[in-house]
Amino acid sequence: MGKKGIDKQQILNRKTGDINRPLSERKLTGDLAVDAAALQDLFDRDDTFKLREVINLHDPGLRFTAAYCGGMVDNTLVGDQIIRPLSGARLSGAGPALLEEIMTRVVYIHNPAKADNYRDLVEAVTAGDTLLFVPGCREVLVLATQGYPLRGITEPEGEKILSGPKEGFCESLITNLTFLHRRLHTNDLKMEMRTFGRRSRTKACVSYLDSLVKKDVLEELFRRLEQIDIDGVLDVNYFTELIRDNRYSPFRTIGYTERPDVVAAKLLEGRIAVFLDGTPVVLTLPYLFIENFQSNEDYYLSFYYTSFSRMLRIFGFFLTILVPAIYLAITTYHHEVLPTPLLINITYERQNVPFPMALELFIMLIMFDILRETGIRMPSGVGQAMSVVGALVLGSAAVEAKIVSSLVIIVVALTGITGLLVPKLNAPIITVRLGILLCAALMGFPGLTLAVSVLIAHILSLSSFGVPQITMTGRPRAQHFKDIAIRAPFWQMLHRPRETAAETRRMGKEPRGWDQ
Amino acid sequence: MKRLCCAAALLILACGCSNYNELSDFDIVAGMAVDKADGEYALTLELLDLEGSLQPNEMKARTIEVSGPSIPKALDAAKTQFSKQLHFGNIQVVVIGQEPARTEGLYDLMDWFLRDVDIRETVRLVISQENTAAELLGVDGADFPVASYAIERIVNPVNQRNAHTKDMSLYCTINTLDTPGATLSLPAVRLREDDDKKHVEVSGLAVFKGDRLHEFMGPEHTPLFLYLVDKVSIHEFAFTVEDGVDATLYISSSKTRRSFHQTDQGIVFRLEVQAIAALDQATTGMDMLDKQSIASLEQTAAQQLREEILRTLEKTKEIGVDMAGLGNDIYLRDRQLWEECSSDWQGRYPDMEVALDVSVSLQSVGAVHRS
Repeated sequence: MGKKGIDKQQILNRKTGDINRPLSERKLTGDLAVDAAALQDLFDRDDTFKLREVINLHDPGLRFTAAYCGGMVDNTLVGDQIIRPLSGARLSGAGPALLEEIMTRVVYIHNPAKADNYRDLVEAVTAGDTLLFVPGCREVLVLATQGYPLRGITEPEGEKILSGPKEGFCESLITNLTFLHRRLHTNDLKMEMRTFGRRSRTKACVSYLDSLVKKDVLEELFRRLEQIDIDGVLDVNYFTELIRDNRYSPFRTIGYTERPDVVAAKLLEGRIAVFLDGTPVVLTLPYLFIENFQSNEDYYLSFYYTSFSRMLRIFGFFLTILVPAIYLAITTYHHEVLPTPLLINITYERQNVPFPMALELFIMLIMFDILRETGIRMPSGVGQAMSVVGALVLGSAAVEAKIVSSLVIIVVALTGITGLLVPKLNAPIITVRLGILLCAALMGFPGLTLAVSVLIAHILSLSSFGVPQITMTGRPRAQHFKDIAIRAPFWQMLHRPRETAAETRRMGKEPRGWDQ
Repeated sequence: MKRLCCAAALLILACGCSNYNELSDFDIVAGMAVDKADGEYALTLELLDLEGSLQPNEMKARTIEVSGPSIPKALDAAKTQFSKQLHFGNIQVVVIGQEPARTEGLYDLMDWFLRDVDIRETVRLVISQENTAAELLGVDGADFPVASYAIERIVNPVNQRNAHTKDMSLYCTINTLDTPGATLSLPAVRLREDDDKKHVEVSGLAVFKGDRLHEFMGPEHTPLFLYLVDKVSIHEFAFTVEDGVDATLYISSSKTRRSFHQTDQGIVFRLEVQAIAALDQATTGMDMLDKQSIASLEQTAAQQLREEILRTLEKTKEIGVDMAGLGNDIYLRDRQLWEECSSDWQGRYPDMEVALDVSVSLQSVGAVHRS
């Protein structure tokens, strides 16, 4: 039986004996040919998987096998730093000693590692590492040779600002972590790596400042993460839905951002960040309700301007969920509230409109959401054109055709525009607005009041990893309100949020001591 | 989720959809005239015509007439004629005819207006000086085609800061009727004919005794009456400085302090009027840079204003009704005295001694020196 025949028989044996054994339990045999063939078998019908035999020029009997995925590695790196030194080196050892010699003296790749089971090998190859099989060794050298293309660093489209850092995260976990390191030069910054997804084996990193984080929140996060059992995680939203509190709530209980400066700021307030390889979105937790109205730009511009902006956002939230319902309740149940000139105008506009006011509003709000969704999904140029065409042409045509009244167009436009003030609440706003509108259509102001009461009760019941999103307990102090409805100047914000940080003192007692 | 479904089901089942009304199903009532004919209430409703233009000077209205033994019964009869509901929530003015105001009394006439949930208690009440209240509705205002709105805009102090009328809403009317020692007076409205075109105008006050119309007081007395009740907002006061020299003051504010004391001859009231004014017009040159000239002008104005207010006071005595509500001052400050005199207060009023002090302070003379 030739070598080829032996290989086939061994593979057959492994297939019949080990077929159901988990990869992590399958160890290397130490026979280079068998181990390389077994790995090749695991990547059967994957044409990107490559095995490359390397012969030592000084000892032609000494042969190594390199394994990697084409396109995932830097070819120059593999050729110059692994294959060339390996083929030209004078090697004296054998077995594990040879492996050690190659690792320390021959290859120029930094941080070489060793692996002894097939799960680690598969993970390494698919991550862009190059495996080096050494004859007589039950371990394989894992060399970091990633060389796949990545998206450049750009400003996140959804979080654009006028002033401040413009960097955004990219899809590489390691690159993203460097952003954080560059902003927080402290050994207090911890980064704990975990792997998720039975098939995707995606790397994630939990990052926090050890002295600021609340330990109970951190423990709770790891407890929930450990229980995740899913075949793949492609985005952090997989995590969000699996580990969040209040799973049916339309409101966020975990924050997310694509900006390194935001993550750094959150960490400085005692929060935890969860990075995931393959996505630029980073989770931050615990999440407070007021964060829906905060923007990183609030801290980069004058506190007068940003306080006003924040109040506008809060006001805009109430407007966007309440305006259609209030309009409907007044015009269908409580006409006497209307000042006479307005009543006359609305009645005049309503003449010959065939639909009831409630239906008219529902149609137009859904129409607005259709236009908004179309604008988002279409390429940017077409999307803008669609929005303009939709708003102008459809709106005015609908009014002229007496399908809707012009005041409804104004109400829907006001609702839509104010909704854009708080992008972090886009999703809940749609459902909440329609819910309140339905209650107002059924019962007028009593229904509206009931719906708002339920909404307030729900918001008060929200929590994020055991931290209430709106804290109503404890003695209220001025410090607790300096980053809520307004953004106080930094020299007044002496404390971190008590809900998120274990250590709340942010700065010295006299931050403007020179001014005394 | 179960609880959520139950809540949603309850919400739908317990909803108040029956109260749902579209605005297009309404006829908006702008005003109502209340008359009595043949023992029945004759109501004239002014309805806005929303088919035409909404420009203030082009709006149109139409009137409908209904009658019945009571106001709600009469309105009920209207349902047989019109497909749309009558919307009373934004009614601006109720014009009451002389006849029902004299015979029925306001308590009875206003009862439905107070009980109806739609009608605002800020609706304004006026008394028609024409034969019927209906005559006033359906004609144009001088600057506004819908009579009800024209009347409301004239009497509304927000629109018209003047001293020609007194604004009285429904709730103020009932409050006044129920206040011991107070007397009700409502704006009187009549038709005026200019260039063969009739329009409404407010003309003086309708004076009540109790809740019934007693008499009308002419428009010349209205601004001066407002000094007695401390309700002057703006008053153009024209007077004669000396022979051939006339002046007009723009009285921008006035404060009237009222007090009383008892003497052997009876109760004596003291009224102190302090008016702040600016010189609006003077027919001949006066040196307004001279302090003595200004003081002289103030003195002359005060004296003549006092005389005119006294004339109005005499007019109220002549009518025989304590229009200024002096009795209420006694009720508020000396309850025992009020107990003694309340029974024949209106009878004692014409003989009551009233001392009046008037001072005028010229804040601005628009200093123009004429050579």
